[in-house]
Amino acid sequence: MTQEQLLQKLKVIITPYVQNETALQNLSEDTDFIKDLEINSANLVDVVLDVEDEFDVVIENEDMEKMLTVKASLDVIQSKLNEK
Amino acid sequence: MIGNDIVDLQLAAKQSNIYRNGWLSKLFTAEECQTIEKAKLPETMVWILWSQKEAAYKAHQRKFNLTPRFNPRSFSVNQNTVIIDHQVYYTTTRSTSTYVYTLALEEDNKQNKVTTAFNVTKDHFIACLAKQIGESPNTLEMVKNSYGVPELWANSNKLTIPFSITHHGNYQAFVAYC
Repeated sequence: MTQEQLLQKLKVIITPYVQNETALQNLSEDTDFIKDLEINSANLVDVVLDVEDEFDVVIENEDMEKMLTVKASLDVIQSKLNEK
Repeated sequence: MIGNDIVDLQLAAKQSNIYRNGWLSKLFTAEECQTIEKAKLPETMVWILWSQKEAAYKAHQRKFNLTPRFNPRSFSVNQNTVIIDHQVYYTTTRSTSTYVYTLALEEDNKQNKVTTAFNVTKDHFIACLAKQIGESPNTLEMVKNSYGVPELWANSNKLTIPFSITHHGNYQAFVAYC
């Protein structure tokens, strides 16, 4: 899967939790889930669970703790996919 | 250092499905999950523990100027204390039928040094604080740093007053330690 395809899949996952629509339209690797997209911090765990379901991977808490930006999340997903 | 966190219970029930498979176990330790299970109101207990962790995390992040991370399970709650990276934070929680609110401090029994403003505007809180520290409200400014942590500035000087803001749904609270 290309980085762009991963990004599009991640965008679909995070969309229901986003509270700042403008930031979602300008989504880039630098986008921060809390600061930019204003995702409620309790919903970060839903993003992680949705990623697990979508990509059929297991995300340990050590990886989860980094998943606060698009870039960090893509890195975690890519490394989990590479392990498969 | 100081941290606070508020949860609007009605909004939380809408935003989060705590019974979703894996939801609790990613956020809470085995002991905390047991506490939730045994509680008379498990949903409320989830948000009590959550707000304790969030409030303590805010104090911890401010104290050490840490990059943000998301791993509440690694902070363990025991009664009114939360331990993060071997640091202890003391929490005071108010739980009502509509919201849960926690204040976290580095030292126990120092709650009397905390100024709290509930459900007021940011400008009102800044005005209160300015009065207390003898600054003009017009010179005080609240700005978020690159980690998303708010800071107070007066005449291009960063103030060292520990403070924290929390907002969720219909509720918000500001606290300052001075």
